[in-house]
Amino acid sequence: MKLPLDMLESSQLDSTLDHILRGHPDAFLSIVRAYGPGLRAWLSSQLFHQDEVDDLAQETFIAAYRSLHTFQRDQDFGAWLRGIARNKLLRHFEHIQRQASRMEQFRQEASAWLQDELDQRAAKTRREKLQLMLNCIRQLPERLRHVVRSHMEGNKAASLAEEMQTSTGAIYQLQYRALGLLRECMARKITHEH
Amino acid sequence: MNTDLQEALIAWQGGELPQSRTEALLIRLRDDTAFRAALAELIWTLCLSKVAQSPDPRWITLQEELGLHEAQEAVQNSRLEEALMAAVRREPQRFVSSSWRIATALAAAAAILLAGLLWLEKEPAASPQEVIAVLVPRDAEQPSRVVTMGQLHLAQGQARLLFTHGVVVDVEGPADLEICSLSRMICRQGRLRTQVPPGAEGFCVETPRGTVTDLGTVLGITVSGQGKTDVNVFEGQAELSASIPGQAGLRTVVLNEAEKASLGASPGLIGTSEVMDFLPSLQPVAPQLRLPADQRARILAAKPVHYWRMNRLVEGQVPNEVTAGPSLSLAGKVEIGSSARFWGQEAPGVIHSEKPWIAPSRGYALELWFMAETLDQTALLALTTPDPKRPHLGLIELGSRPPGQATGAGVLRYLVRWPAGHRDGMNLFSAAASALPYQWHHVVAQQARGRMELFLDGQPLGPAQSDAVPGDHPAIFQIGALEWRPDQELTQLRRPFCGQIAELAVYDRTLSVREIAEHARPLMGSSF
Repeated sequence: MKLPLDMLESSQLDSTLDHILRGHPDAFLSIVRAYGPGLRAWLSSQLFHQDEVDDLAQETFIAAYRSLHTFQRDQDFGAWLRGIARNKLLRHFEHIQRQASRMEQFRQEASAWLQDELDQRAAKTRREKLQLMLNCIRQLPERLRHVVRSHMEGNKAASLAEEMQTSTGAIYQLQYRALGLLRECMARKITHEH
Repeated sequence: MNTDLQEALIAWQGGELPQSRTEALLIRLRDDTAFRAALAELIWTLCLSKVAQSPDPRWITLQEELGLHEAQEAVQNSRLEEALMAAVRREPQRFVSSSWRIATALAAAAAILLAGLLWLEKEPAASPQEVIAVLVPRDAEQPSRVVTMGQLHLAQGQARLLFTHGVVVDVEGPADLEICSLSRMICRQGRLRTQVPPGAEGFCVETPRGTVTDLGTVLGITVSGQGKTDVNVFEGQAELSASIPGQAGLRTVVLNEAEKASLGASPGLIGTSEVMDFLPSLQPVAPQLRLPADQRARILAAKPVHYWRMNRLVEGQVPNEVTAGPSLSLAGKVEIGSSARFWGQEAPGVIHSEKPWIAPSRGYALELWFMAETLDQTALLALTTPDPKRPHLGLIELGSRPPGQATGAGVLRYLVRWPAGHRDGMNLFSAAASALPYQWHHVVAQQARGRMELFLDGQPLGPAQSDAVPGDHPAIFQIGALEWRPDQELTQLRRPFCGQIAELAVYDRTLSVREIAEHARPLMGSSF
């Protein structure tokens, strides 16, 4: 059973926007709740550090709130948000003026090629998918689960390999296996839900 | 394909690859649509796993932009402890804005100042839609509170967690817990007792040494500081599982009633348990309703047409404080002490009127105090016609899930049906978690010519206009159940209330906001 409050169908979105524009800024939180997971996951695909992801997501929501009156109701609100985020991201890269390493260049170029694919997935991401993902992570064998969870804690492959007394290559293989199992598990659960 | 995919993922995460390889991968990414889709799917799965495992950020700057300054107001207006606790509740795990650093500093101060208090909640409080459970400290002096996904630490003492789908977990500190979902929690240390009702089977407790899955039982689980986990099945069945080091295999053991086992004497092993002192069932202490000494006189001064205090019996009935007013009868298990105590499904009971009261079309008000002991959907007061089928005219109930909401935990509902019936009507719902268990609440539900108002603890909810205006009608009072007929088996009683109800007053007029606020203000220290 899906939660309608998490989905913000167009009629819900319209009434929420009307409510905000009539002077109820707290209603914007329901938009944050509905669109936050997809936006954060999308930014996560562009940035490595979760801190940067959450900061840029917040900046995006603030900018969206300030220019809410410019949003055309026949537009896709998620795509509009990601457009704002994309601009923020570009400015972020310019601001830090970092000299991109060869591997960072790969990521930036790869992200450009993957933009449409990642956009499509962001548009379909709802909050309930996060719960499904958590359930799937729980079902992973312990070593795979450890790799997936350690990634969250900022452990890079080399330090994780040292901790698990294995090679860096083996860690990447475990991660690859884990992601494969998570994809299958998510597909199963989503099919089952429907 | 697999090697390319795996290496593209490595490169995407910043892993080192020869330049020639990254160039080749970029070319393939540019030219091969299927490869692009497969890599995007992998990356998206990874990103989703990261977001799913990270807490919702609090985004203080955004809240300030929206004009939501609760934390700052709390600092200025509330007691220091409450303000600091508010800061603790708002602590995100990762956030770097300057305003957040202030909140973090407050949280650190709170951790020191509140070291003597029972609970420290690390995760931020969430919106009502995310209520997973309610925490009830065993000590009646500490209020119950909402629990959302996140960590819970019990420094000392005992408490009960009431999950919204019926699971009950008693906890004794020191305990280090993490609430992950309705069906899963992590216990790194502590003594637990889980009670899982039918329909909630599969509730699992993860510990550092394995997982205990409750298959519809009463379990004792003790997790030591080193993670060693001992399990005792008091009733029903449980499954223990432990991962085997160095392989993907999972060892499982099913325990039957009165069996014990231990996880983690050695990694991956499930052995016998020598632990004897598993946590017994903890019944939280219900707080007393404290009202002014002149409560009776104050209510009678408001000229109710009926007033049942529920604090005494005369000839087996609840007397009416209004002169010559009818008494109420009892059916099933209801204990009358300082208030009327109901036992829910465990021992159903109801208090009801025998003779109908004519509810006037010009308006009436129903006022009562209640304290629930569960999050179940239960009826506080039903107004029905004398018809044998007891169609409803009005209903005040708890735990009713508003349409579109995930849970009805702590929701108060006022329903008016006209014409009387069992299906259609106009509703007023309170916000989620506004009427928490093990707290006394004051309710006034009133309607005048179809205009409905609901007041919870003196705060107005509504109004609403019913579709048709009720006329004068004879009404039977049923307290503590949805509907009761004299020929009905008590075991068939629907939505039986579990908790206490007191001070039911009925008025043939609506009360003013000022009167309601006055009645809702209990005076601490006065005896009831």
